[in-house]
Amino acid sequence: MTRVLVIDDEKPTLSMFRLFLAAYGYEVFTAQSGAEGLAIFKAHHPKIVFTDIKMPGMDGLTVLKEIRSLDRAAQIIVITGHGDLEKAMEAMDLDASDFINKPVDRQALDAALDRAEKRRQLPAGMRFTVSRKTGFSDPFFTLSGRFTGQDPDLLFEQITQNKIDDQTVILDMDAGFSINRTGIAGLIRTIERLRGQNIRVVLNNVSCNFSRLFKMVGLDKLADIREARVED
Amino acid sequence: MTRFSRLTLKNKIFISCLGVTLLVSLIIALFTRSLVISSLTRELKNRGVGIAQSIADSARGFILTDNRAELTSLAYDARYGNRKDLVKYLIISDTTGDILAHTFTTGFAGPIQAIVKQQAVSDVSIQHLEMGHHRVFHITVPVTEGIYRVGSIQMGLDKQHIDHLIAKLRWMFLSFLSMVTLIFFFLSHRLALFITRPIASLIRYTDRLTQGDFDIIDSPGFQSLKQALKTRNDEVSKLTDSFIKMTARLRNSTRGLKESQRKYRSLFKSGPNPIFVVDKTGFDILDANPNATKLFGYTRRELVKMTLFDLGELDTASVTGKPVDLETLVARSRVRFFKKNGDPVFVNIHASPAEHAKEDVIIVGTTDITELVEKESQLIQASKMANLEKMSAGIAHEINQPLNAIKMGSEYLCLMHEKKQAVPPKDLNLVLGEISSQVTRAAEIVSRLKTFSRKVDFSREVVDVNACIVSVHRIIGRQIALQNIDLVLDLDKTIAPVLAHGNRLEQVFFNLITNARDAINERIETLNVTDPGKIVIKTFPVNHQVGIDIEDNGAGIDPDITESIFESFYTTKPMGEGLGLGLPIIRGIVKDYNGTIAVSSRPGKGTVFTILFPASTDAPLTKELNTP
Repeated sequence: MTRVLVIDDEKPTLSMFRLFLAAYGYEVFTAQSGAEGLAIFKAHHPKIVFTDIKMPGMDGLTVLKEIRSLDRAAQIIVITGHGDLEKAMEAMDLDASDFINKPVDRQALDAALDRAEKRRQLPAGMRFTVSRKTGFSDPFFTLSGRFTGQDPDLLFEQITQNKIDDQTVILDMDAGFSINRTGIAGLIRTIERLRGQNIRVVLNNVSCNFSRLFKMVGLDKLADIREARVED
Repeated sequence: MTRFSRLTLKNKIFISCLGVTLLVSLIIALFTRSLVISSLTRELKNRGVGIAQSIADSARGFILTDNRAELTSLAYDARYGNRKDLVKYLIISDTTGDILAHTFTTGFAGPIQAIVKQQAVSDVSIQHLEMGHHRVFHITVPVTEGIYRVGSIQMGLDKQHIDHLIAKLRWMFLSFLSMVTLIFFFLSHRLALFITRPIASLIRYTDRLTQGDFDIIDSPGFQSLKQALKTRNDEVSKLTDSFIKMTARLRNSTRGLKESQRKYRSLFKSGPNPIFVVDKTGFDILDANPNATKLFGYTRRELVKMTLFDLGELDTASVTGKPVDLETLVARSRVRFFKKNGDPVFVNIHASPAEHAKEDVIIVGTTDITELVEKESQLIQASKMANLEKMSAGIAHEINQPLNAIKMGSEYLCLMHEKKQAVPPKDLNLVLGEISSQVTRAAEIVSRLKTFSRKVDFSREVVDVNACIVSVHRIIGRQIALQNIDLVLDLDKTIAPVLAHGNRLEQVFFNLITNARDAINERIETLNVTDPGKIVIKTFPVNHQVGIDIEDNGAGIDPDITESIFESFYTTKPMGEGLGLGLPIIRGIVKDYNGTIAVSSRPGKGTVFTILFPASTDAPLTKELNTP
């Protein structure tokens, strides 16, 4: 059984997480504060950690940093308040696997768990790669690894070096794809450049939590966003 | 004597002078009568004796020679010339009493012969005789030759002649005295007039003055009186001088008085603020200026039938338990009065005791601050809204907590339902119980917000300070805790309630607590320290007052600016961040409830704000104190 740790200062939230995750078949640990969570993490080494960001005492971002320093492979999903873009960005900068909004809905939880499970299989700290896949009507590129501020040029060149007759490009984000603050800015810039060349961009297989983030920064106005399906 | 004192001064002088004159005349008359008349009589008798002796000297030889012819001629000589009136008769006789010569021509009158016969005189004697209807002084003088007596001279002095002389003298004297009296009568009358006439004029002018005719001293009549008296240098002229000076001063001061009366009257009438003149004992309105009638909508006639208490909530005795004493109460702020149509008007009251129409009154000046009160409550409301906006992220977070539990609980049930799995009764109980309690929790948050943002109505209530602090704690306690600041409540449950608006007090505490939080964050940011922030709110009773300390261990306030932090428009916060109520308004609210606020601070260590409110003697209307 995969071990999951949930850190939140809210007891009712912890109870509900416990029920949900138990129903999904996880072994659940809960902690009411960051310090307690860290102690449990050290003792039980859970593979997946949910942590609330706003907590009295040690806050979620500190917990994230501490756990990252202990275990690079742990999947850490931060729980943010609804619409708290800034905290989400900070979490992404600190290499959180995912983030979900409070109130937590099932779809988001499922997506986060699904993504975490997939990422768990991949090696940690993968660099960004772009690969073209054939067999699709439109040009199809798969993005993987951590997309940061240095990578947009690579992406742009990879797309434009292929002669694209069609006006639509599909960028597919696999489970290993992650992004930080400068990465998002770079992605926006790249899409704008492509639009300058009359190329329409479709972001495919976007995790539902990332999709929320992208919508918050206004990416949905530049590109089509297609959310990933969670297979049961 | 009383009759005399009732007389006018003129008559007093007149009668006094006349009386004295008459008295002196009377004394002179009596003196004359007793002294002059007797000495005149004596002188005449001596003269008679002198005549008789000179006859006796001449007759000595003739008696010895018995020369009767010579003696007779000698006797007639005695009545020679004007002596005839005085000397009635003369008889020369020898020692035996035989008559040798006499001046009787028609026979001896009365008892003369007998008197001469029995006269054995050796000395001069004077006898009073009645001779028919004549009265005479009978003088006998002996005639001597050496030591021998040879005869005697007997002579009658006509008393009628003497009486005649005396009567003449008396008549002359009386005439003289009458004339003197007459002159004195005239003089004293003039004297009396001289003294009293200017006084009478002064009296006349004084009467005019008392009627308020001060211009009388410029009238020609008065000027001529002044001129007439100028030449004199006596007491009356000095009195007149003093009178003129006094009148001039009186006129000036009366003019000044009238002018200031006019001035105050016009201030009263045209002053922008409603002013009442009220009775000191019953607070009955005696007068009210036009602006008072304009503001309150009553006519002046209606107002003067009312007391000041009828106008508004000045009679706070029922609330404070203390009787209202306007004399010691100089100012009272934000009193709710009512217009005739029932609309409330907020006024500041300034009262000062004064005298009006010889009665002790109180001048009550009022300032209409309704607009100010409304603006202020709008300002407070606006800042409340700003606070809410600032709090919104925190509120969203707080509401998200119960919502999250509800959402996850219900979705869990959905999941189990979809999977067609049975939910263990224990879990079902847990989920349903949690959903219900979290809904209650969310509803509470909403209702707290509603209470917080509610507009304050204008009437004060008896407020439990502790309850206010607890209520503020409920609103921001969690958010403060999320910023790792320890918010400690140290509330004394025995403190008295205060008379205030609960919601306003909450605003004060809310703002002071958020200020404290900002100060702590500032210290942590600037000094880069990690020791936890702490805010302590303490309530305590002190000398019939309620004290509240709000202490933080934040950045503190520079001693240079502690004075200015309560000033308007002073902020240490960057532009756009200072959306709080601000210390000036906080102080304004505290002062409104007759409280004080003070600050003591040590830079880098922390700050304590101390608020003191007077304790209300009444029990709070709603006593609920639920410490979290």
